[in-house]
Amino acid sequence: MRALCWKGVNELAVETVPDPTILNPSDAIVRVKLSSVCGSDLHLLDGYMPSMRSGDIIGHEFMGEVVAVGSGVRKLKIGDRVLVVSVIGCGACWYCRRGEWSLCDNTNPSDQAMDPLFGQTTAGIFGYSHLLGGYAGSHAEYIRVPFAEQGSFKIPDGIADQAALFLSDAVPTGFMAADLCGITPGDVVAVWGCGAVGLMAIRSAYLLGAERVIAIDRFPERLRVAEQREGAETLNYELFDVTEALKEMTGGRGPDACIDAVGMEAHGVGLAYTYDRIKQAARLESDRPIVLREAILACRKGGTVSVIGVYGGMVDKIPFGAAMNKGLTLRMGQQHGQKYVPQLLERVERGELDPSYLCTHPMSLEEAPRGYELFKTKSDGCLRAVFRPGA
Amino acid sequence: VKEDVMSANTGEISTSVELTRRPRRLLARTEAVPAHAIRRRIANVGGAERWASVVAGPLALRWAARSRRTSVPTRLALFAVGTLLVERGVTGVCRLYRWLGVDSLRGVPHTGRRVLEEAHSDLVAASRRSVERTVTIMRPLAELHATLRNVLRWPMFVDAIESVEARDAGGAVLHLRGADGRRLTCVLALVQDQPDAELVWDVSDQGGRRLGRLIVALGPAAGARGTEVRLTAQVEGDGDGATMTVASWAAKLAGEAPEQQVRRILRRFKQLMETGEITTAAGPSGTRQSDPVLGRILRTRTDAPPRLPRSPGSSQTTAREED
Repeated sequence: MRALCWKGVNELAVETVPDPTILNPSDAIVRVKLSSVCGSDLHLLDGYMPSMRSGDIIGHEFMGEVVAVGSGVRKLKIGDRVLVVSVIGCGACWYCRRGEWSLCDNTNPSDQAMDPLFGQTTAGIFGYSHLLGGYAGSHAEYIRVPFAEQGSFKIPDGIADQAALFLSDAVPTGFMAADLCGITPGDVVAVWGCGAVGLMAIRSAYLLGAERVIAIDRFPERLRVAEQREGAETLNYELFDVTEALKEMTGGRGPDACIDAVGMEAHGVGLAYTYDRIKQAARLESDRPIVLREAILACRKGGTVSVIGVYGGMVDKIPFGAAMNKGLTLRMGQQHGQKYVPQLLERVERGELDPSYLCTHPMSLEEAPRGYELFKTKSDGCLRAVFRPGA
Repeated sequence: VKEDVMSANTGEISTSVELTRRPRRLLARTEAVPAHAIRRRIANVGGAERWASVVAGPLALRWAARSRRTSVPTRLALFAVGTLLVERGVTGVCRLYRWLGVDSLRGVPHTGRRVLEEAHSDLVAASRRSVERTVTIMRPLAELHATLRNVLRWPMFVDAIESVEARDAGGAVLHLRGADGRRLTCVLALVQDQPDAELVWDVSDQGGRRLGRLIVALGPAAGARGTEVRLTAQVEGDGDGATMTVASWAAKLAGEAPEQQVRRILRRFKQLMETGEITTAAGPSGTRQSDPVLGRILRTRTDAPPRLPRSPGSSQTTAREED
């Protein structure tokens, strides 16, 4: 089959690779119809995520058709049109049973690498480095899906492929970001980052009862989408001091909840940003926590900071005194998609959210390296490049 | 240094206090904090050697800073060595020694800390003869006990076992194959079988020479989280100190230290009992090439072909025996 392989830092190639096979009773093989780029893939491309190996297939946001199932799979049939959650959960361990699927005990076979780094081992993720399991990714014609009954969801007839695709990752991630905020009616929520996840977090915050949502980014076209599509007030951080502006926009209080939908490769302005770039380039810190710092300082006293952008390692100069003395609640994590997808499918069916507009650049798999280039440089208004393997 | 030892000791005490209140807890039966959990940041460099480090460290640093004719990599290495020498000289703690399990201070009568240090050395030595790790499994205790007691089920989660023959009274003959390809046959005799609590096997070679013990302790986990399972592998006798050190060092380099093996067995057992299968990312994934250190360690973990489990409860032998 054809697949997009990671060959090295900022080096991608579409190659012919062996087809996947059923290995365990709970496995399914899915023929990928649509597979999307994701902001977190950029950390792989830029080499900030350790343990990538040349030749790995990347990609984790996808939908398609079941073409083979293992002996233990009952709820899925060959021919089912499914979306598959990017995080793999076993459904049997203590964490999965609590709905904390991305903390699954059993789906990451790389515990000997992750235990020393993180203390414990979290769930495996498709196509996201050997630290997170070493599973083959979805930018391919076929993909092996372990624990398929837990992570695959049949798509109702009324929902188009393009909308269902983003329920694999961007929508549940954005929804979880808002869910972690514990929003009560009348809340003001600030969202850093107007990529797909940030846009979905804006929509979700409104769905969960927020009265105002303020979106922060630097790309005018993305801010325009946040304003026109999702009804957010917008703030361009290259033009305004975010902390001061947020304070003024909220009557001097600060937002009730702040969502970091950016993560470890945040951009910024000024001396602190230069400092982080130098430290990261010299590998003295792995992540640039610019948004995290701003969110902690901007958030109202007693508010919540929800971190859904991906961090990978060590951060520096976090104003923890502010967080402690202001009594902030910090919540975070990779998405627990299996918990959220059923209700999100219902919301899409009811028309409460429609993520299909995120697919700005559909293209064939052979064009994938160009798709990543567009996505990375955010040129041509690219929100998501979506590949059609086999097309 | 003193504080570290004290914290290790108080940790031990507070654990046992808590455990007397809850006799059903797993740790109650093992009496102390596992040896591997005890802090190793205790002085391990002898007096004269320590002074030598204090002198040699700055000399190495000076050499690294001054010598223009030395190549950059050599100067960086000198800088690293110098820093480590200064550290071990000033603190008395040598990271390299700690990693290798060497202790040049032991037996040197030197300060009032000696008693504590000796006790600590014993613990460290004990940890080299015995490896123990614990895992929590979301299954009833009786089910786990029954599975572990049936040696014919072991090949499903212990990948070093090539084949197994059951003997009377819970005993077995195991044919093992290490990561290095070496083969070993050992004879297990079940010497203790407390229902719902503990299983102990004596391990010997085919000639009857004792090799060590395998101990499985089970207990309910707090808060309805299933069952805690602790696996202890004890190696008989002291062994030659130097040989032990070199052997464990080599094992670490090969990525197959005993600690990792025990941990891996427990993780695979948990996967099997909770999900009915052993998790794997094996199989074709792109056009993979080999990768340095981290990749090698990961490959042993993720590329191991899975052994498909059988239906629970049946008492068949392993796939390889049937072949």
